[in-house]
Amino acid sequence: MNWNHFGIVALVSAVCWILAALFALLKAKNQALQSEAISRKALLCSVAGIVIISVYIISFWQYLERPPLKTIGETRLWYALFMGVAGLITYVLWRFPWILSFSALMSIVFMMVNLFKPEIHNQVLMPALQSPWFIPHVTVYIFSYALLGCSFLLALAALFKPALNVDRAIWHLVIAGISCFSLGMLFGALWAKEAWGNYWSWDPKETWAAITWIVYILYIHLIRFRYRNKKIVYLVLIFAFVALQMCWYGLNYLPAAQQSIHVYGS
Amino acid sequence: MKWLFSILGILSLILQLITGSVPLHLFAFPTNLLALLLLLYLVWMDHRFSLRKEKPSVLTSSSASILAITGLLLGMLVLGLFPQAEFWSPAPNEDNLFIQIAYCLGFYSFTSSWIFVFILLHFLTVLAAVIYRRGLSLLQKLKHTQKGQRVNWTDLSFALNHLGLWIAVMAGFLGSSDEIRCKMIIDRQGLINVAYKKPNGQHSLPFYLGLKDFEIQYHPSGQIIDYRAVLWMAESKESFPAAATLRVNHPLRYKAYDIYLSTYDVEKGEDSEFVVLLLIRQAWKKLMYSGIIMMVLGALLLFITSARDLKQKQS
Repeated sequence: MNWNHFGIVALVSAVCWILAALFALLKAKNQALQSEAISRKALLCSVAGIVIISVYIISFWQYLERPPLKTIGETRLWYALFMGVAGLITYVLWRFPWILSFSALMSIVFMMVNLFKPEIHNQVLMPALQSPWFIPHVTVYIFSYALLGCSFLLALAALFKPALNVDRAIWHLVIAGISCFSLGMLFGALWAKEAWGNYWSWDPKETWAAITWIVYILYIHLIRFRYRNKKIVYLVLIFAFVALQMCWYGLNYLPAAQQSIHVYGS
Repeated sequence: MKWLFSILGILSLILQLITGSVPLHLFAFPTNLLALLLLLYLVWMDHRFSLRKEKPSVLTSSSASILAITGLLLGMLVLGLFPQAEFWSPAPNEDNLFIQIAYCLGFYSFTSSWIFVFILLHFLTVLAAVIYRRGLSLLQKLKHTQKGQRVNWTDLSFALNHLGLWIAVMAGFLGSSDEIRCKMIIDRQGLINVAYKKPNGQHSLPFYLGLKDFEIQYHPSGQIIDYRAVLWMAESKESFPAAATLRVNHPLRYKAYDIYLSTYDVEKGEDSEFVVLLLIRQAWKKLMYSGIIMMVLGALLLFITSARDLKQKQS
């Protein structure tokens, strides 16, 4: 299979993932958010979507006679696949009913970009980005942003409505999110050593990733030590999310960071 | 112990104001090893003291952990908010008082300031104390564990995350003074062993390198996909050289050095007559890798065990 077959593959896998997201949400609604049981139909559809896109990638690999990792369009295929895989693992392990909707949305966005911007199919990645670390590094980061973003929304709600009982949900979201965030940072360190000779070079993006990570670590320790001032805890989470925005895209507007190797397109 | 760290904190501030940035070579081997032993001795002393006085340990208290994390956070915020000298330098004769103060405190090259060194050493000491205490209680627990009992994954996740972080930060921080990082320009004229270290130093390598061939791979659109150089490598000037291919982003390891293909004469492209190599020797590299791998396993385990805890609570 080549790029000509991608349209149909994208359509079928998108339908599978949308169905999986709907089944997961319906199951949660029917259970009145009590048991948070896994929907088998959601699992089946999710796996079907993953298998379809995997088969396409393998067949495309054979057609190209090299791993499809050299162009921007090719990396988008892997993003779509790994978003689906990460969403499925998180759904099975954590049972957040909405997570499949998020992973489906992100995968579909990546596939749509490939469909509507065919010029990126041949746009070669610069040699430094042609690394096996690139895709896991980016996908676990994007995934952690989603989980940590949800924890921020809950913290914000609880700050203004203290009667809301969301502390346990926030805790689990942060633990899942920070695990993925840590993996993103560590994969980045291993990649940086391989490509530039240093695990960590205090590039502004790396510094802001470290700030974000430390604020979430501070939150985890405050909870572990049973710190009682909930307002402070929520404020720490809100600050952590602000740092995360800085790390993600805020950096592009920071005059001090214009020389960062992570500032693109300027 | 509190007093000791307060004095060290003030001392780092005074040193920064008087002497400016930390001379990196000051922490080269064996000073970095001595600093590490001193740090471990402080941890052991704190533990002994708490046992003797039957008081809780100062370094492993919750407030010590929060203080160490907050200290590190403040240090990182300085790094994130103040442009660092590597990327930016203030205009000469800067009149702004705030910038002058920040400059005196080393905020514009914070990774080499005494204050940052103090923050990291404090963090590493508190983290080592926490690992030591948890390690001891884990050993006690293991002694009383009967055969056939299941491994406690939460303890393992704690050990991997905390010990991995400690090893990685310690190896990165204390090992940075022992790092050799130099650049070398090689051509087809012959084999050389002279590389250049910042700021203006020459470095003699324990081997000789030369350029045999250079090639660039282009995409049909004209963009560069890959470039590679075939190097001559020899142990001495007299010995027979061996050829080895070096690709961009695919370093070669030779005699404890990592050799990277950095750049070439971009104007001449494929006809470039020279290539620039980056050579790095990190004596603490294996420690760093083991710390990172422990943290990767720790993060995976944290993800899985916390999900299991969530399910257990629900059931």
